Amino acid sequence: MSVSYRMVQWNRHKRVYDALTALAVGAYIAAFVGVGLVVNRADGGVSAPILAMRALGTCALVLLHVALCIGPLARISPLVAPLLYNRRHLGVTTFALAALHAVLAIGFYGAFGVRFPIAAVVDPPRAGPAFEAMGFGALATLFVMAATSHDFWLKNLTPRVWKGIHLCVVGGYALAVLHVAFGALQSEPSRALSAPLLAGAAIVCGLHLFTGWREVLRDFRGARAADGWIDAGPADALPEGRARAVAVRGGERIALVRHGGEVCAMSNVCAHQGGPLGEGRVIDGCLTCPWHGYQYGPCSGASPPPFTERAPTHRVRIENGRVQVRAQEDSP
Amino acid sequence: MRAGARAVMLMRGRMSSLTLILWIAGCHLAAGLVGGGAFVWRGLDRIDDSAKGASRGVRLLLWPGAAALWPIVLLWWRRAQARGGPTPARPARGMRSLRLAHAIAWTITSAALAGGLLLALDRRAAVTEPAP
Repeated sequence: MSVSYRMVQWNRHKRVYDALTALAVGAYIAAFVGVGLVVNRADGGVSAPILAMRALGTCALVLLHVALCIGPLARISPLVAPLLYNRRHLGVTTFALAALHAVLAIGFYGAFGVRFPIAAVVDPPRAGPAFEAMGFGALATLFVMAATSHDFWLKNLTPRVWKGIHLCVVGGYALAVLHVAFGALQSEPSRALSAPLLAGAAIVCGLHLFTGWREVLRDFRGARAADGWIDAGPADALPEGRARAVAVRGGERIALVRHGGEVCAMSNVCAHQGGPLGEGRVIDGCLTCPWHGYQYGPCSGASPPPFTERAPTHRVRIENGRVQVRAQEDSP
Repeated sequence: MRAGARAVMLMRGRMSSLTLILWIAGCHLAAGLVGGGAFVWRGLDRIDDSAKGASRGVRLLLWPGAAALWPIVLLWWRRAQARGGPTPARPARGMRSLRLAHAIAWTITSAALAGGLLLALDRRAAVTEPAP
């Protein structure tokens, strides 16, 4: 982050991630349209533009579900953490698919008719909730997410504000699901659409509620400081090369790390996106954030050159076989 | 159509509040394309050392965000000019409050979504029910 910006900092992991995403999206759309054309030939119901519109819309919705499940699943199992690495590209792909869906919908239902296309979206000629406006709201939210996804925004808005803005995806997700519920679902009498829609919403909301409140409870049950020091558990419980997060009542978590037999402590908050350094491990002599691989010297808190990021450090002492961490950060 | 005529239409109830929101968003983005464009092509290097000499691709990539957040980026630019250099990077803080905000946001959204889905299913049942 502290070196020059590039459009995308490509590496092998990102190339594989993006190639698999493109393959999955292409296969889904091809299968949806292919099956749709075969079924359509039999009963002659849906036209090709509507089929393409549905393929793009459902693909965007499925991708949004996947992107939203990765975060909480990574909190449950570290095996999912590698999927977090390039999640922003999933978000941008979701926006691109949703935007194509919207362009097709506005073009098909608006431009070929007598109504001004935008008016067809915001002023539908019927009573009841306007699912078009919900879709537009979801698309606008996805646009803001995609447009501010570059590290430039993360650095200059600060990780806290950036994360706060990106929390709007919660509302965007709800609008996207309701857009389908009050739109396509109303003309679909079978459970082919309602069952996966309800199951998807239950899974996404359930995962976020479970992991979200579990983390909040961990914060509330954090250790109290006595004489400015926090008891962080037995010293031999921390294996070599591993890290552990210590929740502090009323403060930020602290990451404990053992490297070369020495126990050190630094802020649990990665300078990049606020990732949990206490869930990372030592790679190439540096504590490595499990989210995007940002690295810090285990005892200095400084990123290796040419990077200039720094995590505030804390003093550590061992008393009667237990690790104690100074609650106050060391001055830089 | 002039802005005054649009305001009159709105007052007479001929333009919905959603249409008004869309027009405001459109005007905001149109202003942002100009203000945000000036920022990414002229001001970017002055507020962030890492952006010095950024490629055209990076600037194009940042343009949509600058168009959406143009009042903020123009404020950054003005502050950097007043300070005579880029804004120093600030460390990541406040993750504890963000975790709480995240949990609350999902709780409220889950409840609203459950209500909305029930309403949608109820409407569908009413539509698909055969007439007596």
